Amino acid sequence: MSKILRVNMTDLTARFEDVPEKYRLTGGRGLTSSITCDEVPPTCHPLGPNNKITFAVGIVAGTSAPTSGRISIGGKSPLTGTIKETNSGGMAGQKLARLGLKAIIVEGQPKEKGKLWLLKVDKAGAQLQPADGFTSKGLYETYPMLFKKFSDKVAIIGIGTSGERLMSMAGICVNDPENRPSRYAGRGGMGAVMGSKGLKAIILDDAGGPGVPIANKEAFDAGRKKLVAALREHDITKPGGALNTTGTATLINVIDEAGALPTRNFSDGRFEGANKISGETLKETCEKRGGVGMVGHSCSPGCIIKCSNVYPRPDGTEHVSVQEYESIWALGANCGIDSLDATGELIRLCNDYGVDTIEAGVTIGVAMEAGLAKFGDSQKAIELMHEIGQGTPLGHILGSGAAATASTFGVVRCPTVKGQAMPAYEPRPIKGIGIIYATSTMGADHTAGYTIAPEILDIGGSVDKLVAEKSALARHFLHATAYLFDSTGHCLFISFAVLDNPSGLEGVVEECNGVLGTSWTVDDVLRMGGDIVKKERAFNKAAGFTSVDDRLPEFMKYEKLPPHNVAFDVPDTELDKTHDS
Amino acid sequence: MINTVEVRLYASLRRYYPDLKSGEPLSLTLDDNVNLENLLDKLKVPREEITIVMVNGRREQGSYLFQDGDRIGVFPLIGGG
Ligand code: SF4
Repeated sequence: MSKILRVNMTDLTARFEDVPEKYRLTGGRGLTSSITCDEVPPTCHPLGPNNKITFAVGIVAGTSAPTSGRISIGGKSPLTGTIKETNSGGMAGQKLARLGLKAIIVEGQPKEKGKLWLLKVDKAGAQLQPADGFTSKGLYETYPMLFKKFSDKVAIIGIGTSGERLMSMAGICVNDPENRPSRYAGRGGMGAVMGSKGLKAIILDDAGGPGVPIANKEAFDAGRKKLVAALREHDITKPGGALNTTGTATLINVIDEAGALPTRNFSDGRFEGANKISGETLKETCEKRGGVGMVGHSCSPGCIIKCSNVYPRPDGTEHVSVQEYESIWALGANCGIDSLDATGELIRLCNDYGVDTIEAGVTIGVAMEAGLAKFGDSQKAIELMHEIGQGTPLGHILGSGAAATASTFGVVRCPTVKGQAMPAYEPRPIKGIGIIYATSTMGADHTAGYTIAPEILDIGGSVDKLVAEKSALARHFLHATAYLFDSTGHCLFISFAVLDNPSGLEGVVEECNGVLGTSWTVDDVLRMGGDIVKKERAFNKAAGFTSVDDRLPEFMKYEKLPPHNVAFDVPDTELDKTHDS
Repeated sequence: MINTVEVRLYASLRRYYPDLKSGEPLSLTLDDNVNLENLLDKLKVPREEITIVMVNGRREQGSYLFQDGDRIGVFPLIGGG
C-alpha cells in the first residue's frame, strides 16, 4: 500500500501515514490541491508556518506508462497568493512513486532562522540532516556535491540561492537523467515556500523500493499500448516528429509568423530576430557545432517524445540544457535579444540560481522598459541576473517577479495575471489562451489549458463570432488538463496525440483504471478535472480572490498589438462565464 | 497588375529549398489572378506536408487573392510548449 510521508520542520520529525480513502484515487495536481485545500488555511502567509508544501506523484508515475515521470508540487503561492500546482519532469516523480509514496507533505517551520536541512528518503525510512556545506552556492556546484555524498543514482529535488532567500520567482529544481540541475517546477515561487520550510533538498533513493502496484494489469497494458501507438503515430509526438527534432522551440517561428510572439515586453507581436532564436536555428547550431550538442534529449526515462536538448558552446562543449520555447522566448524575444548563445547563458544562470525562466525573462523585460537596460542588451540582462543571484537589494526587487518590479519602477505595461508573468503567447491575437490566463486558478499559465493547438488555426479571427466558442474551448481545456495531464503524471505534450486521437485519450484513462482498479470513462475523468478546478477556486475565493481578479492587465484592453493591431476584447461578462456550468 | 509576395517556409519544409539561407524568404512575383491554392501548387513542397498557411499572420482560404507585399508563412505540423 502506498503511503504519505509527513515531515514536520518545527520539531524535525518525519512519519509515514496511510493514504486516507479520499486521496486513494487521485494523484499529481488532484492530490496536491486536495491536500492544500484540506490542510492549508487560505488566508495564511505563504512563507509562514501555516502554509504547507506537497510533493505528489501522478497516478501512473513509476509505471511503464510512456512520458509519465512528472512530479507535482503544490501549496499556497507567494507570487500569486493563490493555490498553486507546478510540475516538473526529471528523475524525481518515478523514484518517489517507486519508493511506495504517493506524496510528501512538508509543514511547520524550523525554530532556528536561516538553518537549512536535507531530507533523505530511502526504503529504510526518512531522515533530516543539516544542509551545512551545501547552501549559498549555485546549483551547478551543489548538485554534484550532493550526488557525490548520496550516490549518483538518487533523484534530487532542490532549491537554489533564490529559494534560500525566499524570492517569489524561485522555482524547484529536479535533476535530469544525466544529473544536471535542469528541470524545473518553476512557476509561482514554490522554491521560496520550500526555502521558508528550511528545506534545501529532498534526496530520493528508490533502490529496493516496493514499486507501484497495478490493480488490473490487463487494463493497464491495453491502455499503455493505445497511448504508445497514439504517440508514435502523431506527426508532432512521434520519433523524428516535430517535438523530437526541433523541440518546443519550433514554435518560435510559428507564433512569430502568426503575429503573437510577445516582443520587447509585450509591445509587439513579431520579433525581427525570431529566426535567430528559432528551433530550426537551434537544431542547425547543434549539428554544426557538434560535440555534446543534441536535440531529441529525454528529460526523464520512459519518454517517447524526447523534446529536450543539450545546447553546445562554439567549441562543442556543453553550455546548457534545456533551451526550450518558453525560456528562449522569455529571455530572448521578450527582452529583444536575438542570440541563442545569450539565451543559453541566461537560462544557465536561471538554473544555477534556481529561478523560473518565464518569470525571470518577463521581469527583465519589465526592467528594460523601466530603463534599467536597453532592449536587446544581453550583457546587461546577464548582469541583472547576477544581481538576483547575489541577492543585492536590486536583485531582491527583481527576484520578487515582474509585478513587483513593475510596481517598484512605475511600469504600467505589466504582463501578469494574479501576479504571475504571462508565458509566450500573446493573448490579444490568441484570445482563447487569454481566457485561460485570466481565469486559471494559478495566475497566467499556458499549461492550465493548452488551447494553442486548436487556436493557431484561427488566429486573428473575429471575436464576436468566436467568443462563445472560445470560452467553451477554454473551459474544456482547463478541465481536461487538470486531470488528464496534471494528475496522471503524464507530460502535457502528450496532449497533441491524445486530443487528436480518441484511442490515445482512452489509453490514458485505461492506464489509470489499470493502476487504481477503477472503471472510469473519459467523461468521468473530465468531470473529475472540473472538480479539481472547483476546489481550487473555492480556496482562492476564501483567500480573497473575486471575479475582478480573473482579468488580463488593463493595458491589453486599450493598447493595440501590432501586426494585427488588436486589443483584448473578450468582455468581462464572458470571462466570468468560463467557470459556469 | 503584378504582385510581389514573400513566402517563408518553416521547420522541415526548408529542405525543399536548400539554397535559401536560414530565415531568408522566397520572393515571388505573381499575376493578379493567382490565388493561394495556385501558389501552393507552384512550390516544390509536396502538398500533403503543408498543414498551416498564414497570410500576414492569418489563416486564409485557398481562394485568397494576393495583395502586393503579402507575407506568406507555410508550415508542416508543428507543436511546442
Ligand atoms: S515530452 Fe519533453 S518535457 Fe515531456 S517528458 Fe518528454 S522530454 Fe520531458
